[in-house]
Amino acid sequence: MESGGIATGVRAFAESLQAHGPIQHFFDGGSGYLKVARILTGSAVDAIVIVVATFFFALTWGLMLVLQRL
Amino acid sequence: MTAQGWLQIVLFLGVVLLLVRPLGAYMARVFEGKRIFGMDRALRPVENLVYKLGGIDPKSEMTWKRYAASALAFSLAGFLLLYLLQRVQGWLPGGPDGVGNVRPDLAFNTAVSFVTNTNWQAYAGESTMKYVTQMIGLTVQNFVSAGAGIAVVIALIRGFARRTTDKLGNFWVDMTRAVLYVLLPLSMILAIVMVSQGVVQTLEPSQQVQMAQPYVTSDGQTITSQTIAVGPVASQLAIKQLGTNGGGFFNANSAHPFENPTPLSGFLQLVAILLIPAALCYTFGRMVGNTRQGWVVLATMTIILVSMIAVAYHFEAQGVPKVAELGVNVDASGGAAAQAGGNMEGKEVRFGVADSSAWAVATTAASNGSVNSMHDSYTPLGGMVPLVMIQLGEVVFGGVGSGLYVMLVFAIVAVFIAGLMVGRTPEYLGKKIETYEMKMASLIILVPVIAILVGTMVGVATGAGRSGAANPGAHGFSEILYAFTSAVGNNGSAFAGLSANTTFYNLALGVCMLIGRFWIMVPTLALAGSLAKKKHTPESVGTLRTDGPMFIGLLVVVVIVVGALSFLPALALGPVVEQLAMGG
Repeated sequence: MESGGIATGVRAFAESLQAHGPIQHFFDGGSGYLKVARILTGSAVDAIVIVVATFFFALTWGLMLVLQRL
Repeated sequence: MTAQGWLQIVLFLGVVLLLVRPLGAYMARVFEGKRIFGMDRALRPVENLVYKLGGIDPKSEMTWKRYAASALAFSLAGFLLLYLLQRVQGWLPGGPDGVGNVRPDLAFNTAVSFVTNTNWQAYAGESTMKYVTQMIGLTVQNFVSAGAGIAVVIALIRGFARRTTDKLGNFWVDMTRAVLYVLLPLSMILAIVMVSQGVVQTLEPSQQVQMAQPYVTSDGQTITSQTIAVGPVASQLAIKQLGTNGGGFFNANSAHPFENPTPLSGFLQLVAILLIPAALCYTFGRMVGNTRQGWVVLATMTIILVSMIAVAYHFEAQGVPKVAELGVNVDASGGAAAQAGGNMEGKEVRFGVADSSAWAVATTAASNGSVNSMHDSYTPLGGMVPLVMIQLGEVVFGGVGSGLYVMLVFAIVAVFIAGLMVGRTPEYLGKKIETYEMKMASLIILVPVIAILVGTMVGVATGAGRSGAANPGAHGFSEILYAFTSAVGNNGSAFAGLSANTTFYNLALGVCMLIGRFWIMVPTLALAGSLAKKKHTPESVGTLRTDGPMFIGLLVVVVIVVGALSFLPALALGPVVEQLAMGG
């Protein structure tokens, strides 16, 4: 799960945060690797959860379009 | 049952009803955009700043589709932020110490739970959530999810009140005003009163204290100190009750002495549970130009509530025959040697049977879900009452906003049935009820029923579902049925016997909560849109009056019959069988 556009983007974003001193304290704990990036890019479960929840809202949007035609 | 017990219940209902008119009138002014003496000067600049930051034009009104899309987009954003916050909380500053990131399935369940105003908690708050998550995650969602519910009911009320328009107001404006003018001021007042009663409000970490009496474990180890969890409890507690959220800071919720320390704190919390849903009935009456219509809805809710409190109190006061057979005095009038009376298992001694029964019914009537006793330990039929209250569709007061909008749908069904009886086109508040309205009403009533029954079926048919129930047989079935009922009804209370922090329950109940919230909300807004487009039909001799006692009776019957037809078979397999097996 380390590869891919979104994963790479999130990681780059997180690393840019890391470069800004104080934010590292919040997100990292000083281990030298941003755990926020790791959790978002390294966990398939997170990706599935986010996709499933977003899908539900998209489905509800679809329901709205159906109701409009009833 | 005792006179003192009934006195508490009457006093609590009396205070709620006394506050209905002033708060309801105030909310009507808020949502009609009228000047509010004393509040405008303080809050208008903040409101304008919110609009400016959000790029919102407060004068721009929305069609039902845009209104619904805004509500959905807002909720999705809230879900993603809350999910992320839980997943990274372990690296964020603040106490309590030793609390790590939340597991993905639990984070999903919790994020959905708070975004949908359910506040089902598969976790123990004090040991799972950091203060930062409780404060900027859960408490914020307590406010905005309640605000979203109020916004939707206001849109539906406008659907009744307006004529030949497709505009229902602006979701962002309604939600901002609900939070700023209604929920925040009331919560601040209640939080301060709660602090005065001893509810903790601190960012200090958990306290290590010496025990007054050391405890020796079964393997001979002597324990002399105890960890006492504290935190920013009062600020979360106030909105948890006023917003009908119900999620406790502590696992024991309002049975915990730091979350409900005194008789006054308990009484005020009980009032707060019903306050806004009750007052919204008056707001409805004011905004449609006929306050009697609001009183009729409120009377319907109150009649069902009082009847159900009486049933629950009756069975809990009776106690359990098996306990009485052992020679335990379960009679409340048994003098100093007697206990509080009735079935005291799972109840706080401080509250007793009457207060616990009233709370159990109020919290499930109002889609609140906070508890001061464990519903799992109620007698079978006493415990069936909270279950039934949710299964009636959360319309007896119901969630903030959501209760009233579903009750108004039941009112539409009631006039439709009455219309069929006399052979006339049904009308409600001057709007003709036609095919489209009935399609939406049917969806709103049937979707939760199907979700609850299918969910329970999956729960009892799979090993993952059955393994969560702590009890075999009928009671285990009740535990699973209660969980799915609570999730779909966006209530959040639980039969405590179910181990719900499993991947199966976290995911299954999460999906049910989403269905129970949004697949009701969207048809409601579609209904509002359709009503707003209609012309006003003047009353005639053939119009069914909806502002008198006959309509109250009709509405009570429709709510009860629909609930009974949907759930009696399932209830027969759970609490009814259990009562028969108990020999009561």
